[in-house]
Amino acid sequence: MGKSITKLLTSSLFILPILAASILFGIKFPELSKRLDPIGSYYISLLKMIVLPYLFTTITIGIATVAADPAGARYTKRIAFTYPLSMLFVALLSVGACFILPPAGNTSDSAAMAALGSIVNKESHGTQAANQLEVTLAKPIAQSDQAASYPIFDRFVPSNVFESLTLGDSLKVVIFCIIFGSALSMQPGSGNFSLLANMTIVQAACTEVIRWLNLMLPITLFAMVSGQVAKVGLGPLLSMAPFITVQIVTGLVLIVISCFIIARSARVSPFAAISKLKQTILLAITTRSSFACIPMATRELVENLHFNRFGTELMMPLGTTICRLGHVQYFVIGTIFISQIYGVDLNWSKYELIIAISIAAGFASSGASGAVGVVMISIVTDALHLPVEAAIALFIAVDPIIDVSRTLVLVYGNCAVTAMTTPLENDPALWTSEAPDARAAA
Amino acid sequence: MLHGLKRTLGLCAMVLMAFWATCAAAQTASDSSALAGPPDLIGIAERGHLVVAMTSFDNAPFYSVKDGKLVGIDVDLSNDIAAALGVDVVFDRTAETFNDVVAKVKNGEADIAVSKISRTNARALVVAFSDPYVRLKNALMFNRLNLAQKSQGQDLGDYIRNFNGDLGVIENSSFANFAKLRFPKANLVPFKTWGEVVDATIAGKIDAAYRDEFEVRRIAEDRPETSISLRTVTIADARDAIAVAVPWNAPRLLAMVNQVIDDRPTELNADDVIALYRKSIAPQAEH
Repeated sequence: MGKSITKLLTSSLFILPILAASILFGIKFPELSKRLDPIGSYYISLLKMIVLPYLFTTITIGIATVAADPAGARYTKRIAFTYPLSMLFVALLSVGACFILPPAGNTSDSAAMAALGSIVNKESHGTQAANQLEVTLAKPIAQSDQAASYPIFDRFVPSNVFESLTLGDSLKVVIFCIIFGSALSMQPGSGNFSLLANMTIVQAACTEVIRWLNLMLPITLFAMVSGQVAKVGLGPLLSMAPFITVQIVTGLVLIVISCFIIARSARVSPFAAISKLKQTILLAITTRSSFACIPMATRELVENLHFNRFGTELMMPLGTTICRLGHVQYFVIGTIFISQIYGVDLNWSKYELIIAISIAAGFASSGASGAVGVVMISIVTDALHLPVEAAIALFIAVDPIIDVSRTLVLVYGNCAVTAMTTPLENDPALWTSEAPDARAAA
Repeated sequence: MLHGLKRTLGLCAMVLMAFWATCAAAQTASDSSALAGPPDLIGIAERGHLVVAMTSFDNAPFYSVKDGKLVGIDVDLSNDIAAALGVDVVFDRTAETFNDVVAKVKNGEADIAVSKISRTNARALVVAFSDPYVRLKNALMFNRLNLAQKSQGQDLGDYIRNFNGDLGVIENSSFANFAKLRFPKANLVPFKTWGEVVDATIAGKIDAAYRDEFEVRRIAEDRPETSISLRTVTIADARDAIAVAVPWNAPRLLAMVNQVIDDRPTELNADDVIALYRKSIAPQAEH
């Protein structure tokens, strides 16, 4: 009975009609849909609640296990190679896409520019940040001494892991887990083994909670999708059409490439590479939170595609946190959009700079989702001395749409990166993420 | 004894008569001064109308012709002042520039000037100014690209305090003077009209334009496409006082104008002015 309900709730025959209905509902009843939106954010909050402890235990276990394993060094090497290379590939592909489809469209069309200007005016009406700033001519008398700081490193170096956990600063948590996990593997005696075994139980409990939450997905999905649809105005979508097109087309190309990589590594058909990860894909589309997708993606890669559990549990959370494929793509295309809007000519050295800094900004965007991630584009534009405030207002206006593609590229792309770096598991007994003693047996 | 009483009565009568005469004389004197009134108001009262100078061009929402009728903040204020004086109002709209409007008052061709005039020291040397009826912050309108390239990521407040780029102003305007004082390191570029200043800023020929918050924010209302290329920075501690210009030798008139301004329910700020502007340019939709 329970099994069949579970099956029904997660079946695509059940979910696809809900998806379609929620989109229609969002278009037809935008006001009502906007009021449903908080239900979706409660659901995402619940997911995030459990993902942090999951991430903490999973990465610590993963690092400790891999570091203790003599063959573990190969993962370090793979991470060092595949993460930067895959981000470089995404950046190059995005630059290429911008050559074929200019993201700013026709900038000499004054009607189109007026439409964009109106979006900036409207978006900045509340905060007035994009359009307005107030300064004083008199220098503040009590000027605080500004110590030199490097904003990018600020996001990497944890000072207090509990604070990072409290704030949900996943990048710092991951960095702590890597350091702590490595240290744990060096400890002699069986003590660390029992600690790891305990953490495994915590991890399994987290997975269980996520499983429950997953059953609620079809119900909350309606609220999330219709709310999101209602938030997007048709006006911004039309004015920003060239930008949206190039982002989504590039995203689709990356997803197709990822699909073939997964199919090849898992020795399944490309269709199966999609259908066996369908829960992950659905979660990415509906929650638009890469973080919330980590446990589901890990589970599906292990249970459905039979990748090695330890490798997957290490690579998937790590990759989603630091290998920010979706954001790199977004930053590259966004920066090229800005330079086109302002008529700044880009030469090769500028493109190299865009690619390099977009990758760095991708790292820095770890744990930032939604609008916070969008604002990170200023890291790239500041380096190129491009004005960003007006463009951010435009980006935020269309982000409900782009965020879907960006999250999907990040999550599914990292499934592909994980597939490339993780071997398949031959022992069917380990095609599970449930039993904690499976690890002990290993 | 009787003779003494008679003398006393006679004296009393004389004193009374003298007192009455003095009172009568004083009465006559005060009657004639009521007829004359304060000299600076007499001319207006006798003429039966108040001549208010305004520029020949419209300046919504302060004064503009809408449906064949002159309307706006300045028009309302002029009407209130005239009503307080008990006369009609006549608008003299022959002045080409703000300085010409002030000159009209100085030369006695107009009684007052209500024409969104900024109170400046140079003008205050020739006319008297009322208390401000609108206060607008100063504002800079930057070309976003020039700003990003020249500020090189330094703190925007610091960059503006030491601004040394090309700053566009309307020539001989109040802001041309303010600019010299407030941005001594900037290279001032004068233009004939505000439109030319804005176009040069959009094209990036100059780095920024300088005027009051309302005029700067109005650009985004009129030409939304400029929001992509222009960025507004308001200056909190540099305010422009918009006041009524009155002849320097008309203290009663000035007092009346101040009283009318003081009796208005609220002092307008830039947000109110922008809201009124939106209303004034909106097509007749609110019916």
